[in-house]
Amino acid sequence: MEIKIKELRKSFPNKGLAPLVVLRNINLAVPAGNFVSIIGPSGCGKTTLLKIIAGLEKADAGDIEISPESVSPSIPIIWQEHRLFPWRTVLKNLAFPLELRKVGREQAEVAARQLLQKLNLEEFANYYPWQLSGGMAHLASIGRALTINSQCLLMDEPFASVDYQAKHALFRRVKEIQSEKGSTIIYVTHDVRDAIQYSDRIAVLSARPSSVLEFIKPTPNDLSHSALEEHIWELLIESREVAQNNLS
Amino acid sequence: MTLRRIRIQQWLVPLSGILFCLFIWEVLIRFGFIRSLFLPPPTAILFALTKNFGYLISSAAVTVRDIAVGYVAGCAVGIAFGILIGYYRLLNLAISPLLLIISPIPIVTFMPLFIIWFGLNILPVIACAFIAAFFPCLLNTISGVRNVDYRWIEVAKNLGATNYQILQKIIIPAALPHIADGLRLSIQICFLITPVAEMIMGQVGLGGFIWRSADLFKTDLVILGQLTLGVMGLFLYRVFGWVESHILLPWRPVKA
Repeated sequence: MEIKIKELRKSFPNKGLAPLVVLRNINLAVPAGNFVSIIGPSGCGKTTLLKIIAGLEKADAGDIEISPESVSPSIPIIWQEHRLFPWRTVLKNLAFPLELRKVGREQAEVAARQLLQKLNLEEFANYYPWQLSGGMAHLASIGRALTINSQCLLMDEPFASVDYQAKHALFRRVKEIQSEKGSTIIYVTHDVRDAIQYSDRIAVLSARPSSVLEFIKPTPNDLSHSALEEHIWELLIESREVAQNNLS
Repeated sequence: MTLRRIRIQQWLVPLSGILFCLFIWEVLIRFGFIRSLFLPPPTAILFALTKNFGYLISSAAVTVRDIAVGYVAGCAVGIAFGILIGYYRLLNLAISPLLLIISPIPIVTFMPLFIIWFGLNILPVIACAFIAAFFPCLLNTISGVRNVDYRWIEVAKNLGATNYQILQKIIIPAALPHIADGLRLSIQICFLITPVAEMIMGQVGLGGFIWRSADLFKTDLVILGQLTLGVMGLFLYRVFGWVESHILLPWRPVKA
């Protein structure tokens, strides 16, 4: 699934003051089957951008073209927190998107169980979310997003709160799923190293009001990775300084 | 300490506390510190129980029926209205001031009105139990529905839920802890109000049993009626606790 974002603009009301412009002019073309990281300083509108792509927020102006048009009406987001419903077991959390699509409860649970098996979470099917470790809960939330069978996944820094090992394992699972299904993944993060390590492309956003500073393609070379990391940091620091100067 | 010893201790210590208090109570009366007309000794109450068991049970059955009918109806209507008022913002805005005025009115003060409306029968008592259950359920349900974590609604919307599905599959289950609080509070208030309403009506239920016994200066029966209410209350709270943790909210983390 290819996603083209053109001249996207979004602002929020600001208690009697001028509207707070978060996204000023976003232009981005995410090629089908790519893992694209969006990196930018806090408050630059990364999550807002994901919500607009998912259809949860409306942009003030601009366009998002998704091709081919998805069979499923929604593009699932994997959130920063796992956001599993605490009153549902892991199995029923995974069956939830299918229940919404009027799939019978039994059929939905069979499909959810198959997915749990794939994710090695089958033995936790009847656990409630509070009984899972952070990593397992995030894996289950990825499973819930996958039941929609969308060709695209949006990830809002979902592994920020899990330890390094769990994060690495979760990334491996996501990459496996991506290559299995040819999914397009848009991954929002603060972590420059993660972005370089896992992405096919990296979009660097400026500080608010944000626009895309660079759309970088990392190469699989360790030496250039550190240079790239430095370059991205320079871009971020520079954009923050510009934003602060504009404010003062 | 082994688990078995802890369990024995959990039963034994409270039981010995109760037995000790009963013993002191008995001694105070037997040695003439308190007149038995004002406070009969535990043995006299036990004797009154054996003599009036049938009468006590039939009175208790009436109270249980009054509470059950009023509670179930009050909770059902309270929860249903609570969901509607909590979900529809305008309805909430329109009705909230009225609720703020009506809900603090002491429930027993409705009794004269109910007697005028329904006559001298069991209905005024049930109506009081209804009101006692209705308001806590209504207010807690409204608060539960209005305070559902927006992030869950966002997840459901993102996964393709319609507004009705969000209400049915997210808002109502997420509001359940508040609704359960309302149900528990309702049962407590029902239990406080119904015997009082029965006393006002004079001749029915355990309230009537206590009132008539007091009229005849049978303090042993008055205390017997009170203790029966205490035991019934304890039983009901225990049953409710089980229903809450096994049926309503089995997903809540187990308290250590």
